[in-house]
Amino acid sequence: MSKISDKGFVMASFPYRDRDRMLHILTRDHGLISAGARGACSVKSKLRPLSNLFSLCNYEFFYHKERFYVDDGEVIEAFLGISESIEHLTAASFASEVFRDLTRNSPPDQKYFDLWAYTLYEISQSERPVLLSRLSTLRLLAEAGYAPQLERCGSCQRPISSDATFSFQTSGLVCGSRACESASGDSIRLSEGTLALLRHVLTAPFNRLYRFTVTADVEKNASQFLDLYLCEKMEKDYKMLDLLEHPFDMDLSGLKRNCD
Amino acid sequence: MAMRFSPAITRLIAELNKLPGIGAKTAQRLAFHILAQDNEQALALADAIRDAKQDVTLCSECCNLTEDDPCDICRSQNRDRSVVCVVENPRDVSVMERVQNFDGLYHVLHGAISPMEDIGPEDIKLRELLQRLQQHQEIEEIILAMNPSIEGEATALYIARLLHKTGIKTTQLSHGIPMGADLEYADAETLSRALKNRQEL
Repeated sequence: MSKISDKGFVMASFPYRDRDRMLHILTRDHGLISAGARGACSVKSKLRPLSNLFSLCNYEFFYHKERFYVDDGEVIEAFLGISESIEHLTAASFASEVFRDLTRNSPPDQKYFDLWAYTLYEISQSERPVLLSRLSTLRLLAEAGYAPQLERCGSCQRPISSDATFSFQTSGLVCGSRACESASGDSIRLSEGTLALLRHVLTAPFNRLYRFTVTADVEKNASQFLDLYLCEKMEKDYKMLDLLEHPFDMDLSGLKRNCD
Repeated sequence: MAMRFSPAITRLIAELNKLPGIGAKTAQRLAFHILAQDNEQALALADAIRDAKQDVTLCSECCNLTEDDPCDICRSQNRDRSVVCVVENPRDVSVMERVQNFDGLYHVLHGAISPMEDIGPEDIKLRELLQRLQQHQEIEEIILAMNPSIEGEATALYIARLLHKTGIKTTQLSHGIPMGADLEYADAETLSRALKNRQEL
């Protein structure tokens, strides 16, 4: 049995047995780990605040029989802005799912921890949390070696500066020449603004990653591309954001009370 | 090597194993305990499960588990019908009932909004709550008593926003230090909320 100290974010937290919780924690030095938190469902448990979804904590684990258990720790930041709306919660949950999928079998790398730290903070503060969560998945894919080619034509290597077509088959842009376009396969048109946004996300340092302003058209175009690109690269259909596509529809006018 | 049991025992173990908090070994132990009981005792358990499944339904008013519809609480004439306490689970109703100074009604959502578990506003009994508020104009206050988790908070805020400008008073249970707990073991978040919700003596 060994003791390990590390910083980590709670990426997912599930009830386990009667009073325990099973946590997926993205740690700075050990990558994504699963850790048991015994008794964490109990009101007076010292592990309860360390088991809250999306919390950043200093953890002390003990490692026994190839399993991590949370032994002690302290909360650094609880990111309460995430609970401010369903949009914030869904955006953070979606990004968390992608981060977990991508880091589950990856060797520990602090860049994933840092990217998640900036992403979660910005999602908790932003008025456009869903766009930020989508953009974070592009940067995450790029950090893992799946960056799209957005500077030049994927077929003829000619530089492209204006709006262009993105081919999922070549994972890059396609210039207007007939030969290149015919080889593009499934594709999507990206506006100049969308391209500028995506290039910024691929190259900006983490602390400047979410510093931009975009129009509604660019957000829509970029979101379509990001969903398709994520699905293509991860070979998985992420449905969490669908929760926001179907808003709770009910006529609430009958709820009004007479305030006289 | 895995132990082999007769098909009936294997089925019993498998069914017990599906219960929350019951692992394979506990399921085996429970199965053999049931088999060691005399017929009357073992069948009483089976009857209790069958009767509960057959007779217990959701109250058409508050969505709590009940054998009579509406439930005892919704039928009672001694309750304050202008206040409804919204909770996540039927268990929370019995917890709140232990606090003997709440005499309002309840509404059980049967969960909280949780994108991680694919639970949206349509998957909990939120529509039923809003319909109830439309039908019962005497309801003046909603007390949101969700668990202090990120999902519980988000659900509470979602409901509060839906009820904004309706004239229905929306309040939330305050969060703070539990009785009997030491201040030194309270986390920073709980302490800061306790400070925010402090009361003048």
